[in-house]
Amino acid sequence: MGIDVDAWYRRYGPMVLRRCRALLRDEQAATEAMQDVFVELVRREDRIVDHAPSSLLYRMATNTCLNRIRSKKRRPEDAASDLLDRIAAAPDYESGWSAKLMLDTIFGREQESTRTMAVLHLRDGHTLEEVAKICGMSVSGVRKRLRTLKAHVAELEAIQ
Amino acid sequence: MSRRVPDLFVEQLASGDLSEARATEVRDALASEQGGLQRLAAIEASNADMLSQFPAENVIPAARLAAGRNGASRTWLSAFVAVAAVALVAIIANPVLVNPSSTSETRLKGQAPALQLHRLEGSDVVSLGPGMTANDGDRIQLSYIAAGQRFGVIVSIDGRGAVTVHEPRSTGRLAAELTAGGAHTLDQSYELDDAPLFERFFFVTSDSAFSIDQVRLAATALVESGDARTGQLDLPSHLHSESFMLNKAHR
Repeated sequence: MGIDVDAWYRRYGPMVLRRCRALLRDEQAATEAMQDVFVELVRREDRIVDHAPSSLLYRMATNTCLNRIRSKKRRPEDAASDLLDRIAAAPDYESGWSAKLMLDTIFGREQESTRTMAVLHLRDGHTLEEVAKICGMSVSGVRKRLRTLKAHVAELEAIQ
Repeated sequence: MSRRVPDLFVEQLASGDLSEARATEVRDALASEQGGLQRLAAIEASNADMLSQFPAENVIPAARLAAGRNGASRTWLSAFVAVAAVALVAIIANPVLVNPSSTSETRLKGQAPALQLHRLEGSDVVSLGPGMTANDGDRIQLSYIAAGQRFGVIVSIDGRGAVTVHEPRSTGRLAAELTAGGAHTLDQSYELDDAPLFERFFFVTSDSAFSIDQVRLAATALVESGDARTGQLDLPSHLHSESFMLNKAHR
């Protein structure tokens, strides 16, 4: 099995860079985040099945950017970045997770990052059904996971 | 009011990932959204530019180097990283606000990319030429002239064989995007440590992005060859290299 990382980069690299630019709003940081995504992809190229690569890379880019925002503790510039900051700062479904573990879980399709789901839903405007499809989960699973962030992200209060 | 089509769907439409039926849905939704089709066109138009700026031929090898999957042994790479880390610790970096490009002593090398070195002496800025002598404790300011090249890395090798990356200063893996338009001064100066004999700087440039590790590895190989003072970096032909050597003396 495995994937052709070079071909994936040529097809989806610009998408990953655009995603990182949109979330980080810093050209240098976005370029580095894009590189980080493909370093992780290379590390796991033998284990990945060529299934929905754009969704996978989009989630990886989102997760990588959230980790950067979380570590940088930047000053919110507007409502959109404030939302990202609060999501990035929120604890994830698994306590004590690390960035590496999270990427492992993405590839293993065991535990998608709850914070990534929150960004897809609240910032990007995806419905819960769309988030579930993008993340390969059930809608009820997404709903349950997002409820765990209610205390930190008030916008999730509406989720029952 | 219909919602804005999420970016991911526009990206998937642009990359041809959607089924015919789903692609039609997304395209119709974009058509009914103010500026929607322009979003799609902007993505399609920017793809080639991004791949030109960050070509796969450079980004993926850099990713493989960083991931330790380039065929080199992890032990060797770890040793290399340790050497670089020691070199970084050995040089003290402090921000200094100077602008050597405004002095009359600026050295230009025609249209070729070039490095400029200046020694900060109190409030004075003194231009240094290749082969001149500097002392440990001297504060050195680096500047470069991109001469049309878009990406660059500045490294130095000292008399102890320590390799230090001066530009880019971030933790990324690709060369820095160079600033065009005459001499550009790095935002930090460096205090030379007590390494003996020489301090040699290399300015490696290219039209397209390339891996910092390519330059680090070439510099480390040059150290191991025993010819760091006069030898050249062994680099691919699309990378241009200029060097600038200072002799070292102790106060």
